[in-house]
Amino acid sequence: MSDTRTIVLECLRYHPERDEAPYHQRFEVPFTPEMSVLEGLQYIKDHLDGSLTFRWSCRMAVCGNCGCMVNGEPVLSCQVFLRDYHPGCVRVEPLDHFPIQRDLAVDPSDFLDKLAQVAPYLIPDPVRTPEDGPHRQTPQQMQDYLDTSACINCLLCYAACPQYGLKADFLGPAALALAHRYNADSRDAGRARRMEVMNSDAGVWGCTLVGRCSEVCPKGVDPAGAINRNKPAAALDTLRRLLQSGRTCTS
Amino acid sequence: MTSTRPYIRSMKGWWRRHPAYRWYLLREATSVVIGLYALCLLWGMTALLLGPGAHDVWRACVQSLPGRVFQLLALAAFAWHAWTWLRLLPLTLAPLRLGRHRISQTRVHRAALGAWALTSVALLVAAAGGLR
Repeated sequence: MSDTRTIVLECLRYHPERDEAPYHQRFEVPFTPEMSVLEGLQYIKDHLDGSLTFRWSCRMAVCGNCGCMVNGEPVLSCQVFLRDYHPGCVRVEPLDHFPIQRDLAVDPSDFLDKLAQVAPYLIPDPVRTPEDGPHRQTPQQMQDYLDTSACINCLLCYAACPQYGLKADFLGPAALALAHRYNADSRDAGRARRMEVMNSDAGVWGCTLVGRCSEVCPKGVDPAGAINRNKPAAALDTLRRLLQSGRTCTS
Repeated sequence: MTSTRPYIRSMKGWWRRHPAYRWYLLREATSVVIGLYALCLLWGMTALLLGPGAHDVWRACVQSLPGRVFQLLALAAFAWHAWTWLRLLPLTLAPLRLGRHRISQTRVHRAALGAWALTSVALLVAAAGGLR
């Protein structure tokens, strides 16, 4: 254990039944070079303060559960290492723009509601049953959506998006990127249904292209690109509706 | 784990949280300067319609020291806005492909910058020709 050093983890604490407002608490944590920030939090929970609350599951940047702000950056705490912050202090806070439920755990209900609005699943037309067999597509067709399908719903993009924090009804980067993922899938026919939510102030027009969402994504998804590539389609949809309403008025 | 009293954090001073937010606001703020410069040009066009007297007043204004400072500021705002907008251009385009390979965002950005530079030089040359 000669490689063991000590680092200070400053965690945001908030217990709703006890605290009026969140505060920071410092913990001195011994660490070895291979220890992630998540392992630092686990050390605190196991040895220093069992009441520290945080979410985690896979420890390998797949489940998207352990997202938090580390020194102001939205990251997966299993993917960043304590050695990279030493000898400085590591400030760990819950993901920005979400209500704090307890300590480092946020309430993701708003995201889940918005995700449901964009129907993030295949809507084939005609409806298919298992008896129809596999719904095939070419590798080229798969390339059209493959990058956006890597989203793990970790919410880092929401924590990086000031528009989501400022505008409560904005659908946000991940929900819109997933809407794009299914719209771009050759097996899907749900574009018109999704367009209703995408082509609104809360949809693609709520994005002002800050671009941080794409920078912080741990899976290389480009939500800013996915959203803004849908703006021309949304504009055409508005035009189509105007023309249709004009025809209805004149007939 | 449910909480009846989740804590909502304020967005006050959000632009101070990351340099990227400040660069974003600077990019958006350049639109105001560009808008003002468009109004200045509109004033010039209207002055042309109104006659030589009005046009001379407009020329005197744009050639004064504050007018020159404003034009330099507008030039800087244009350059910064164009640079940042072209950097974001690949995000607004469907992925471009050359054969089976996708063209990288960096290449799209460089190509757009090249087109911008060429167009600017062509306009400058044309304007210089017109002045002669």
